[in-house]
Amino acid sequence: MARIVILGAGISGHTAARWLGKWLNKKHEVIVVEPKAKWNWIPSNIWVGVGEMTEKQVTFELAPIYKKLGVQLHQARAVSVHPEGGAASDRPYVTIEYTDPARGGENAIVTYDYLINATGPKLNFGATPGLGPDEGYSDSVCTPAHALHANENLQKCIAALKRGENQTFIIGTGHGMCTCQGAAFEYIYNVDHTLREQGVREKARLIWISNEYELGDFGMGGVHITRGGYVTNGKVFAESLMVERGMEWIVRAAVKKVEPGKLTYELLDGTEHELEFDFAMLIPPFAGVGMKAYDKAGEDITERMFAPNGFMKVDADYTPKPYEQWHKSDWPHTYQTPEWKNIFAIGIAFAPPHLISKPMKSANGTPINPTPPRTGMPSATIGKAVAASIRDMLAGAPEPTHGASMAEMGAACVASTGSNIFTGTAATMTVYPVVPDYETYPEYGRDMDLTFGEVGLAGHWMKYLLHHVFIYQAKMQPGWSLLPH
Amino acid sequence: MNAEQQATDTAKAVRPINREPYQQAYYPPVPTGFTKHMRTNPLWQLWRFIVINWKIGRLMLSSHRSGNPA
Repeated sequence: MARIVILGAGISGHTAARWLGKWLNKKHEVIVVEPKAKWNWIPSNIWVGVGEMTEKQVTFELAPIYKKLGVQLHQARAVSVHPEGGAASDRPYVTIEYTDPARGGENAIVTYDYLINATGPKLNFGATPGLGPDEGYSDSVCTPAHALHANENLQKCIAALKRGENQTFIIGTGHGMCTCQGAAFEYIYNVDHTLREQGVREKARLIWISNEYELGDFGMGGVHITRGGYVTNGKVFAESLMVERGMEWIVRAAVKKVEPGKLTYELLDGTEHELEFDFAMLIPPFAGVGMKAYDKAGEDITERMFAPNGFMKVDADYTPKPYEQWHKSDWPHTYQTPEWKNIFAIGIAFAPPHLISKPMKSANGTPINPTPPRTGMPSATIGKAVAASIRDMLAGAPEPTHGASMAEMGAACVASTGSNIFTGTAATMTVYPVVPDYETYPEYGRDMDLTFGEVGLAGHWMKYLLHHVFIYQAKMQPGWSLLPH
Repeated sequence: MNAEQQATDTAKAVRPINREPYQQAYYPPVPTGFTKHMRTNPLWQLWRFIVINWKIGRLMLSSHRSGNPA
């Protein structure tokens, strides 16, 4: 009987756990190490952030689900990886620190035959002084708790607007190297929608700020879609929506510092500016969670296993090369680490080979460019592929049997632009592939038949439906395995 | 000219006649009333819901054919 250990139960890790639990059917041991007791459908945190949903509606307890599946759950965070064994065991193991209140601070080791790193991102608020709700002066929607706090502050601003005061809202990315512009994009439109529903939009000034070179980049280098008889870059549509909703936008910006009611940002031309605000929601940059790695002798081998940003190296081509030489083959397929064949990294935890958007530096040398998004659909697809590979390797396959390259898969994103069953809208966008492939699609890097976008009520229905479908699937309700990712 | 007329003339003089051009909001396309109406027209959006699901289904099938599990 083999033991598969999965670090992290986010979208990717939980997908891997479900499929391994189902396929292995207790023939082998599956253990999940996850710091939080609850699973969170992160895409709906936006709605928590404007008071449209409660925390309970976007989370559920993991323990009963894993108990039903026969998967062991340790509520703990992973601290280090010992792929060759070490002082604590001859077998490969991870060290963990319990976050479960009943075992708070207790350390343990968990040996493994296969390890899946699905630890996701560290929300690196510390990268920008004053960023974040916990120790800073801005809000976030990255966790349910943050989203609740954001809504509290939003409601205070709405009350001020109702008293006749003008209010300035700044929403976007809080560092020059953020990803997840889509989440901020959704949030600014939901704030706009909420303010209109409350009848206070007139006195509100809404400003978007991001590190994208142009609006609509979303960390994917932008997208072209065919609409109205033209092939048009998404920038045009993104700007159109901003103008339609009366918003201003600042792009090519790296937020350098956040102070109470004020932020400072640098533009690509090297100039610095300040903006005052009454409300700021700024997505933080992501980093790896900070695990270390040690060899059998206890020597630090973190650099062999992890990239400088803390994400785990996998079967990607990490050779530094200029943008003009980037190729789809740079991107990983199997997500297996090159040195240790029984270790995989999935979802946000794997180290991308480079950006997708073209790298940009300010006149002062500050990198101001989005980092690659790893959204829900690719993350779940990668999780399932790795689960399938491990299943087959347990049955005797010498190598991973399934691939899920972001240069060969598509993604669908539904970005809410206001929640209401009759008057809500969302921007639905599909891209194929996620990472542009100019070899196969020389003109625009993507299949123009499978890449499209539109705004409408249908998108809102999709987003609302997906909220329920994916939580149903994650809870492993009857028929869950028939539902797509 | 009486005071009231003078005040009206002064007000007209300071109110800009022309919209300020070349600003951020000057260039992007803005949807017409009809386009905005169709975005929330239930019948039209029901059709779009079907089309969007069909397109996403095709996208997932294409990903599956590329060796990525659905």
